[in-house]
Amino acid sequence: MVLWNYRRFILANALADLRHRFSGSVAGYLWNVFVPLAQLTVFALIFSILLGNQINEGPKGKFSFIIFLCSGLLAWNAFAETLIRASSALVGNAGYLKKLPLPEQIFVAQEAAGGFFTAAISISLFVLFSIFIAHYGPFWQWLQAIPFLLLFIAFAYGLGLVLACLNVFFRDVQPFMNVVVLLWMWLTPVVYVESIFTADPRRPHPIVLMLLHWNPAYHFVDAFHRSLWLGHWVPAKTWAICVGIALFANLLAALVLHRLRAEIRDVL
Amino acid sequence: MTSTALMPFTHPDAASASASASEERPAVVTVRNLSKRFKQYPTPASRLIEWSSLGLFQRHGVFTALHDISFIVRKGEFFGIIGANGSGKSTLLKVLTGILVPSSGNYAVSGRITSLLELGTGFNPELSGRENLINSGRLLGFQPSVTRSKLEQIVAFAELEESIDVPIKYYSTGMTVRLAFALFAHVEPDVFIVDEALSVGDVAFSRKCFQRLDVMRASGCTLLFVSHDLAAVRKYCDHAALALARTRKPAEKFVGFGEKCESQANLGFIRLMRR
Repeated sequence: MVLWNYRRFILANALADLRHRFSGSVAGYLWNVFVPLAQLTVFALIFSILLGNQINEGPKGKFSFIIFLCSGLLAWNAFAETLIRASSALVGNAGYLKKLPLPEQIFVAQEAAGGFFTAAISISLFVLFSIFIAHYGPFWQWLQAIPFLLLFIAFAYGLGLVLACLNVFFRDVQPFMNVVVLLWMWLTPVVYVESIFTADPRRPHPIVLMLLHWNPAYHFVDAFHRSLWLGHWVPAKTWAICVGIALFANLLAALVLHRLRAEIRDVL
Repeated sequence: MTSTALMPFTHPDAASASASASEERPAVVTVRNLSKRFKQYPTPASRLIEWSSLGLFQRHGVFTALHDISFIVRKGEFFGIIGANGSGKSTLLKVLTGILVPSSGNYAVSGRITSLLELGTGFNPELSGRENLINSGRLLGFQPSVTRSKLEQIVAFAELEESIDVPIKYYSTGMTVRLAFALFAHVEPDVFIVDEALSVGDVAFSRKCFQRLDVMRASGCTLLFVSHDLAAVRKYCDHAALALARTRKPAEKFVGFGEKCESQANLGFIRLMRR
């Protein structure tokens, strides 16, 4: 496996990238924490206070919405960031690819590893918050978040590799992905609860529901909600779907890369 | 659009004289009928049209950078590749190092091939010389422990003992080249590609580099030397291949180069092997 041979390079670069991403700024590494924290605060304020989002499931109390939000949004953020950064990974590392016979995948894998670290840290912080401040948990079911994070990032890696290959030929892919990811987030029940479509008998939207369930990211976010928010075991069907999606994305990526590799090198 | 053919030469006399000696050595680099063509699309949109019509509407032109090249480099040889800008030297080297995929024909390189073209590519300006050596070693596929064990040697060769812990963004171009050459010269490749980058260093260091190349060669390393510097090629190389743009008259180049080099005993050439 190519990625295994280059694991040292991938890990070292992913960590160095996280360290250097905000180099030159005064707050430095703290930006890695500030930015998601600000985003969470905004969503929490708008949805729980202004819109009065009703949460009937999960933990009760003043932190109920925050716990719901974090359980899905932290993983989604890692997914979205990996996807966006991965789509420009080959073009951005053209300097290496033009001069060294390195496999293309490692630059996408580097972004995926970075996304995994960020999510692992922020979810760990969330777990601590949940236990010590919100007094919710801990549950064994939370551990399911680890394999699901790996699967989610594996999905982002596969899809990101396909996009990165296409971005070499059509630079439109990267700006396009910024829009897609934004739309995708609102089509996925990350900041709102899925039950707003299902629970209310006046609003049975079969089309919306179908869109929701045909959305591959839905199943991953659903798994995070079940394990982190509700503390349930994730049903086997969701496991199977997520593994299937991650495998399919990686298979597709391998095919696309195999087909385009020679031309990617010519064009870079 | 100039497309080119790289033509290996063997001097009629030199070839027969050195034939018996070189025939016995194993071929390290073998190139057979290698061609490299690039597809050129006028705009990204024309590529989209061609792709989405599954090739029904062909929208690309073809640029032939290398046309039907064949040559053999044997173990321990110092093989020169000479040619004008845009004659396909770099394309050839990129194919040999595995960066580009040939359009047709094939090539074989036995052992590890390292190129000075890669010079400083893995270098991060924010990191110190020492950290960069370890990082680049990792990129070339070496464990940090291997690079570390050779670190003293490399630093001593580059004569950078005083500035090895300074971020390399403060290095001069010459210092960076010295660092990179020192690294590549100590990773013991089987085939080593040297190019113009070498001339960036000062005279003393340049001499030192060539001495090092002799040492490497004596230990069985095969060298490909890409240069505009005919004097250096004449001085060091056993054989040379000439990359020519097809629009130039090959005969002129052939005669001019051949005459000058005839006095050099160890440079064998020059017979066109045209397609």
